[in-house]
Amino acid sequence: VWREFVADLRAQKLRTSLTVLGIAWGTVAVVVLLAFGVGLERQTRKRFHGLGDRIVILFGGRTTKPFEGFPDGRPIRLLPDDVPTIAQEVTEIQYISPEFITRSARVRRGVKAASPAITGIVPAYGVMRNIIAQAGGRFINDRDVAERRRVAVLGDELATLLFGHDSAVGRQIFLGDTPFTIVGVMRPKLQNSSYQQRDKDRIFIPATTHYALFGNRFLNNIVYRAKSAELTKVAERHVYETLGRKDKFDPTDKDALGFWDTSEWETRFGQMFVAFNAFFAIVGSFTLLVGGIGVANIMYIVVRERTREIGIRRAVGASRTDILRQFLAEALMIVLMGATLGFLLSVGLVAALGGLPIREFVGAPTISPSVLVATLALLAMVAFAAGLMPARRAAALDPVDALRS
Amino acid sequence: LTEVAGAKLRAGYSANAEVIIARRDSVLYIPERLVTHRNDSSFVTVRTDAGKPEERLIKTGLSDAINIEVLEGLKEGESLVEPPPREIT
Repeated sequence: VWREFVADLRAQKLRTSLTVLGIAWGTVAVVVLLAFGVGLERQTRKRFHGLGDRIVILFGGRTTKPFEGFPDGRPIRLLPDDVPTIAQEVTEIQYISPEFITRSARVRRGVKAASPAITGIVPAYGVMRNIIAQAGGRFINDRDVAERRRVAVLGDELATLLFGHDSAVGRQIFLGDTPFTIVGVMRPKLQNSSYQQRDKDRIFIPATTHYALFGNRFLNNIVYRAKSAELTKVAERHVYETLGRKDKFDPTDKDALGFWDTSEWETRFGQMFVAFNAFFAIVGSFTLLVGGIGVANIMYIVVRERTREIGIRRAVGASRTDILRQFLAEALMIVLMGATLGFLLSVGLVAALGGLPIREFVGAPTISPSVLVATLALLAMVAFAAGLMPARRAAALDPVDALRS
Repeated sequence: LTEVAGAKLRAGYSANAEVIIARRDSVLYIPERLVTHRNDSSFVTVRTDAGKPEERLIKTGLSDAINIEVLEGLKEGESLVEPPPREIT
């Protein structure tokens, strides 16, 4: 078959190479579009995780239902004590942290000053909100909280503002009139949503220190993560019940508390990306389909050209299956060549696209295993469909008629 | 107090003073960023002779938030493992 194919290729150089190119082009379209889709999805996920990975941000609210003699319209605010209460009662929660925020003090180093959101938190906050210290530093730890130490972690842009390109770890700054030691600087990260302020401009200190220094009576919010994604909704209901019991509001009163469930957003975006990638795959496969029609055309011509040969082969004993297999194999060969060429081109193209300065928003196109599998499946379908019809025509020829032509 | 030659403190000036509450000399200490805290206990990851990382319970003493004194659990000359910063995916 191979020799025949090569002979055919020689005889009809232009025709065959154009067909191969058609398949190659289709393959490039499918691979690059899907790779782009995968890259975009990963990057978007990463940007989401800049705010936090599967976290719930809990705010106070205002009641809308009268309850046990209390009127509606009562504000419900979160207190520092609510955190241990929730942690104890809502067993579905894995991590939880209070979040105090104040803007009442300036952050100074020499003549450089800023008024960031000064945030009081516990170590679990860094895990949940993906605030990761750069090499050589650390996040707030348990001892900082226990001893109310005057230590701070800076957002990367705030650190640059105060320290330029010098290392900030171990240095002192002033929060209002109180000296603090910098123990870490946040690694730069992508963050596509926030409350109050982006993390890169914030300063993080132990919750206990914050309380002692600024004396905020209420928390700005609480951040928690459920043990698993499935438990998030259950945890939310239990938080309503726990705080409802304590603050005397109806646990079905949704407006009494505000929940920002980031995983919900992520799920929605995940669904959007499934549709997105399906669209990309369909667009790509149309191009591939056109290539496939080219292959089928060529094969019909080949069959017509070689009708006499088919007649002779049948006359000397070749079965219908033999003929079918011969032409199917030739079609597959064309597709295989096109696909190989297409894949090589795609790898080059994807590498080139990855170097463009658009990475921050669309990510680097990635030829992931799922992209490979999807493309191979499409190619196999096209090759089979394009090869089978002409091959069946060839196999169905009546040997007598074929010889006579 | 240290004498600063020529400098005068006038009304309205501000000054910073450091008060030393406790100090240790010639003790074993490590960077505090290498210490993991769990339920009031402190742990470090030690590279054993076989090259394998092994978590070990230590007892800590004084700390200035950057460096921390090690009272028990480590010997001078042992090397600690610092995990690379976590990646956001």
